[in-house]
Amino acid sequence: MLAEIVPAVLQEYGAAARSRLFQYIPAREPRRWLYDLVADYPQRGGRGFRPSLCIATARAFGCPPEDALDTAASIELLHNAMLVHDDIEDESERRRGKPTLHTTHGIPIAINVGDMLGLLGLRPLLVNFRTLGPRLALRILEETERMASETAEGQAMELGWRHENSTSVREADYLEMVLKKTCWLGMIHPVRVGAMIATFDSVDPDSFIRFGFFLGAAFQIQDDLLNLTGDENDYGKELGGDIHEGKRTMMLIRLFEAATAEERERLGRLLALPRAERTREEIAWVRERMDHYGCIEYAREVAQGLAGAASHEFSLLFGALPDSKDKRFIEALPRWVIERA
Amino acid sequence: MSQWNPHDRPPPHDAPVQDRLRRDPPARTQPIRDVPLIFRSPPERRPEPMPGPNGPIPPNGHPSLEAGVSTAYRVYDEYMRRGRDAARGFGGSWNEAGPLSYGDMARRAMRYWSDAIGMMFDFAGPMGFMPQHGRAPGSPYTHSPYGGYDPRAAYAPQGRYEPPPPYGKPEPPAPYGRYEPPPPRERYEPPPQRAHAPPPRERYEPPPPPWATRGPGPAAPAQAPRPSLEAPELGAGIALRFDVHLGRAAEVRLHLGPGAAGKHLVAPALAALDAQGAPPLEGVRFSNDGAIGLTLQVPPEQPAGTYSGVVIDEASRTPVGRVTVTLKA
Repeated sequence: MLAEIVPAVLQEYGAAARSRLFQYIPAREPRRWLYDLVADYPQRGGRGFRPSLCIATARAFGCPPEDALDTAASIELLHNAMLVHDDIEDESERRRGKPTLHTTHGIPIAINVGDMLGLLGLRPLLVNFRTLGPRLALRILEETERMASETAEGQAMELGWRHENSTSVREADYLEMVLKKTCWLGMIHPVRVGAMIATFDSVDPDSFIRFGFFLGAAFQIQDDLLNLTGDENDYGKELGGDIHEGKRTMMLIRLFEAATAEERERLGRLLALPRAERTREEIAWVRERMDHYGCIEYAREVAQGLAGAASHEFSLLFGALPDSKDKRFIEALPRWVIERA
Repeated sequence: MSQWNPHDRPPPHDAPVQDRLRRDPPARTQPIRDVPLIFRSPPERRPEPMPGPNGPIPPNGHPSLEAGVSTAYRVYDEYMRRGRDAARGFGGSWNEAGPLSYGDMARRAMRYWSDAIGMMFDFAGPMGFMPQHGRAPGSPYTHSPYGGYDPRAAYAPQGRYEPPPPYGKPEPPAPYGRYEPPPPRERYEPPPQRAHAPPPRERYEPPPPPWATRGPGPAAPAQAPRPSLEAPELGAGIALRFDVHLGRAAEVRLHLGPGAAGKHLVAPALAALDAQGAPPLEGVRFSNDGAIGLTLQVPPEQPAGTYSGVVIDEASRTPVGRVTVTLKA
């Protein structure tokens, strides 16, 4: 019952946010090399998880959805902007079941498209000045600036590890990176601004960080697991791509901890290679070692623990609110993030 | 020879490996990020896995639930501590870190007054008191109440974005341009009140690992417990219903969670749920002299509709309930 509500709400609020998002994409030149491409990733769909969480939080706190819709559209635009840049930085080949933008149009154009998506993401926040008043709109703008900073810092951590081929990354480092890179944009920011809009910035926004962190960390670990064990058509990206990219996932960190000295050395040599030189055989060996040392099961259990912690934080934050569809949706998210395929 | 001594003569280079001098590995190779660790004994070193006949045996496959969650809490605590330290150096847009000089305050006051007067003229324009010189009909500047650039108006004449033909089938138009909430609104039905509600725990504690619950000796293979994903029960909230007559009929629904007891409560302005363009309903006041009292002041010009907002514990700034007011026409 709880899990069924999530897809329904995501569909409803995701469609609403996307509809609002497209209002901010100008129908003017240059279309071929900019605005058509700006619309490309949003048109591919996606779950609309982030804007839905923002709208649902606002509604759970007693706010009309219209008040949160521009902010939700902004979140989705900024998310798409970061996806375009992330795909370049990670040398990803597929996004939402299709080739990534930089593989079809080249890196310079893709960077420019990402820049424009980021700028368009600020537009709805300026509209907030008119609809929500200058004080609340400015607070949301400040929140957005913080979210973007945290996300960039998290991305820098991960890129730095790969650049230096760091083999000393520990679980706590990984969780801090996830807190910044994944959780701020994906969970913490939507919940914070949703509550901020609904309460006219009267609740303590920091109280939402823990819920968003645990939910987001469970989400990220499950995402990394799906990259290894999921169905490529459902997942929308290449399977095993994280190993190929040298991403420091919880499973890889666990493998570094559990492996023998020789295996660690081989693993380090493999990750030091340029992406194109990592062979399928080597990737398969990494995958086999992960199975051998139980790294996948380990990560799955950590994700389950974090989801339980997120449920606990939910009860502290939302427990006092009356029952509603939106409250049930947020309540169901911890289970949904670790059960999704 | 277990400790390295500089006065000892080193063994010859052809001595067996086990006889050579060895330094102990450095006590620490990474910066200590966990400050409390400085005052605790260092963690036990993880034993190296013993090699088995087919290579090293896997590490124990016991759930790492507890370790993972406690690491996450530690990361969060450390993150918040660093955030608080960093925040001391920065001020928000409304709360500066240091005191303002009189000169700064005067300049700011002038700017606020300037903005306020500008807004007054901007509002006067659409109401017909001010001519709209120099603004063409349909200009994005015409619609903005602040006299600024209105992006919606800028995009409106060009219509909705439509995907170009070369990139596949155009997406069908969305069923709505503006979000409309679903019309049938569920009303909150308060659950039956319970006699006792345990207080919420401060931190999530994962369930005990299987080896902790197993008895001594060769126990039957027990099912490893999964963490409960259901939120712990907080017990039913206090739900009250008031019929307040203020010259017009109004219905007040107040839902308070267990955390509201004995607290000083405040309610920010209530947002209009179904009255388009209605201003927020202010004037909701709580008192607590043993019993929770609610005072509601409704301006006579407040449009009819349903207004809702959260109830907050003023001390902790955490939500403890919700209040909904329905004003009848």
